[in-house]
Amino acid sequence: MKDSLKTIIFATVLGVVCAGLLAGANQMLKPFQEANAAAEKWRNIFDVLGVSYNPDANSHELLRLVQSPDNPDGKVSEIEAAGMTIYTYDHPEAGKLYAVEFSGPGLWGPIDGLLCLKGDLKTVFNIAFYKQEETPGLGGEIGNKPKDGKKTFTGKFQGKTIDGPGKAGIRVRKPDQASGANEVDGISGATLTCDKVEAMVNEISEIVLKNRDAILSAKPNSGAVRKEAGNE
Amino acid sequence: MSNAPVACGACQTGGICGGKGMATFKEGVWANNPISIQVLGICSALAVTSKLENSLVMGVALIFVCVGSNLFISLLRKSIPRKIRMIAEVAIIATFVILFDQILKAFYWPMSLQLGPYVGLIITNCIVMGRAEAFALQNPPLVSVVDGLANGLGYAAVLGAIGAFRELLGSGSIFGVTMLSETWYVKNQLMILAPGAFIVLGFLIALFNALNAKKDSNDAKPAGGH
Repeated sequence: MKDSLKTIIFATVLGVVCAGLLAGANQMLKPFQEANAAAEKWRNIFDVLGVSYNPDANSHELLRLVQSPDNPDGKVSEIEAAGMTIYTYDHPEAGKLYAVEFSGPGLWGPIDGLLCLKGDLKTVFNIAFYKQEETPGLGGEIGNKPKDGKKTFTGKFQGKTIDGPGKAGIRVRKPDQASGANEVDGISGATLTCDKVEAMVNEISEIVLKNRDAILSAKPNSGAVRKEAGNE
Repeated sequence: MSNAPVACGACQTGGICGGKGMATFKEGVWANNPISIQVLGICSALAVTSKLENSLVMGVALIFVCVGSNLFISLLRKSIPRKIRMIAEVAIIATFVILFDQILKAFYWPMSLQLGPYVGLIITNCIVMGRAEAFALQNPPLVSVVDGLANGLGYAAVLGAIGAFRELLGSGSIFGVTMLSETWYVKNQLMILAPGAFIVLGFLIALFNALNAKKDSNDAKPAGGH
């Protein structure tokens, strides 16, 4: 009896001390973690919209960039349409751009991405799959950003149209078989990943095309970007 | 690492570690290395070693957890009730692991993204639990800290070696800096994938065994675990 009482007291004290320590650490570190998560989100959006920013900027500097209303590089605004948040940006060369988030199941885990369309809301300016767990070296290729003129899988989407012929979205063909304006070459050895990517791109394309007028006429929520960043 | 008194300079007989510091240190880093001799904790050794930087951060994580949990378990060794000692150990280990994971998320975000769940999985790492059970429960705090540090370093060194090989052969770089130019070196994809880790680890264990066999052929070698 005495032994079990001692056991219970020890377990309780240990549990409370450990929990207290972790709760305290969590409280102290939370602002930093949230700033990191928010900066990560903006880094992905900046990348897909072609906003120039210092890639070595830390979370703090990046958020300041988003917050600053008179910084030309920070002029990304949000619009709410069709129940989605859409990020718009006046690109110095490509004109008005719209970026919208999408997600869907991949082969091994969920895939999150951003689809960026030009002002006509039909032509793909850029696409990114920023969160994916596909097979490294095969399906994982979808996570590579186009750089130094090297053609990556995502780079093949640029300039393609999501508005037919046929179903909305992009057809991912077998490697070296894409020909149409809405077709891209798939990745050799990653058929399943390509199928899943095509399905989620089609889904978001259909939503965008269906709500095209609503998106084009939506007013930006002024200050939304600043407000959100200001919360942290 | 064999002759220099790295662990604690005062470790003669009657020193602050009771003369056991240096022996404990050598044991953890080399003679009884947790990965290459005891073959413990190889799950993370295989999973996070595709790059040198990731391997070293993982090593630092294990050093932190091993030192911290060994210290506190040793301090509490006389008051932990025997019946729940394992649960108490896991609670202390988990506290340190979560603490490290949180710090990584706050101050080293890109690395936290790359290591994903593997930092959290240190809770189930046999090395940490093993040192707590086998050493910290029977020994005073200071020498337990040395033991935790030595085992953490032993783990980190092996992980670093695997990471360096895999990154060099698989990506042609070290710490992300290109070493083998793409113009004449074809990157070996196998090294990035899991089989590459098994192959490198296998060679390393063979090397350790060969070196140890020379020094001491009668040494009994415990094996097993994950």
